[in-house]
Amino acid sequence: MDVDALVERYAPMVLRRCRQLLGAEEEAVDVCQDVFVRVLERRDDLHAGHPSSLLYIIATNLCLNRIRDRGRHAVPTEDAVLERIVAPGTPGEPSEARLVLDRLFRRDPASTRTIAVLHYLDGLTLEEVAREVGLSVSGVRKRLRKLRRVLGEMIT
Amino acid sequence: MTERSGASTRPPDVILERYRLGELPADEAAALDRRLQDDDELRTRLAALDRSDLEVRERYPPKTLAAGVRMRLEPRSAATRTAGIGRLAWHWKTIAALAAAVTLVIVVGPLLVGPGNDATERVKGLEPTLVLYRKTAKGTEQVGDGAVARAGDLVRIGYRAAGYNWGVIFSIDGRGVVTMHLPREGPRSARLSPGPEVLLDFAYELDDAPRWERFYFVAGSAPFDTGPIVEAARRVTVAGEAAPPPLLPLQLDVRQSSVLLIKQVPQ
Repeated sequence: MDVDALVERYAPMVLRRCRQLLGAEEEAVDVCQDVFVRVLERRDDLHAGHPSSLLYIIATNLCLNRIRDRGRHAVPTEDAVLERIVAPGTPGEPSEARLVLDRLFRRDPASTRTIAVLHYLDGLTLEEVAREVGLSVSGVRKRLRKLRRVLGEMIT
Repeated sequence: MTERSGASTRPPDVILERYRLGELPADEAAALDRRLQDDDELRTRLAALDRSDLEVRERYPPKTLAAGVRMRLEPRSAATRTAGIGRLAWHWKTIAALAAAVTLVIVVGPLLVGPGNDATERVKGLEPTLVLYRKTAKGTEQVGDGAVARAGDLVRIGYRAAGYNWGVIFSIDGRGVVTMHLPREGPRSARLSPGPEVLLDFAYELDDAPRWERFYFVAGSAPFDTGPIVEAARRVTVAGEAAPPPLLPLQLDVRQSSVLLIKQVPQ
């Protein structure tokens, strides 16, 4: 695979994703490069001509790992938290939703983290999430249900 | 199809990204095509993504970014990959003190067991390695291959000799200008200090040269001329183009390590 062509075509998308989740520019550029390294290391998994999904998912995973490693702490409150997570798009909300998810992610496997972000933060439908992460819709629904249960436990 | 979380029906960013890349399933792409005809907000979002593409490619030229990716893909033995920005943050004084302490132990060691000579035993499994640290508001951070840097950054240069006795450290920037760091002048390689990590006793301030600056550390077991090495770097560098490769084509029995910094274009 041509590294230059891959970076030329997809770097803007990947960097935007990293900026969105991480905020810090230098960290975003650092993770952006790691995303391409991961994808190139897994080049056999790439669907011919359609690498955007894999790049986007890996970018999400790596950013979440980075957020987790930062050791952030957030103290969410019950209904407000749920409201904020399920209603992205209003100014000021993404970062707060991100903080809540950060806390949740410490107790959840990576795939559930990614699913949660795609659904609650990015606003993908269950079908779209399932397609992006390669799971069934019921599998996605099950994981989100579990996540919501964990959320309930954490904030009581 | 389930509903989107929240009340919004606006297509998520990832869907727009894939639409622009032509990687959305045909039926979804057709639906977006139709929606675009009378959805001003959607057209505005797509225009913003177009502008963002230009900004990213201008700020981080793809060839330079790709060079950073390629470096990370290469085995550690070929070229150093150190921790990324923000992964390590030590204080300058701590680093210097540790390096000095360890160096002292290593220097004193051979004197206790007998006279040393130039054929110092190699440190098994270790390769000569270049390390860079950058001063930050909170202390310092180690910067790795492909790290983003900007004019005015203060960089501290160090090396791990791994048993090699002679070396040269220099950098070449996006204008093709070479700066000698060790030795600062003179045609011959400098004597390397032993020890796990040795810091040069000055900080190097990055100037406004564009695109990138690559630092090279070349080490050998015998003294060598620096001229051919610097010339090799100049030959493989085209000002204004992609960064030079991590390893220089040298006809010498030497080891190499390098670190690439990507220069951020001021907004």
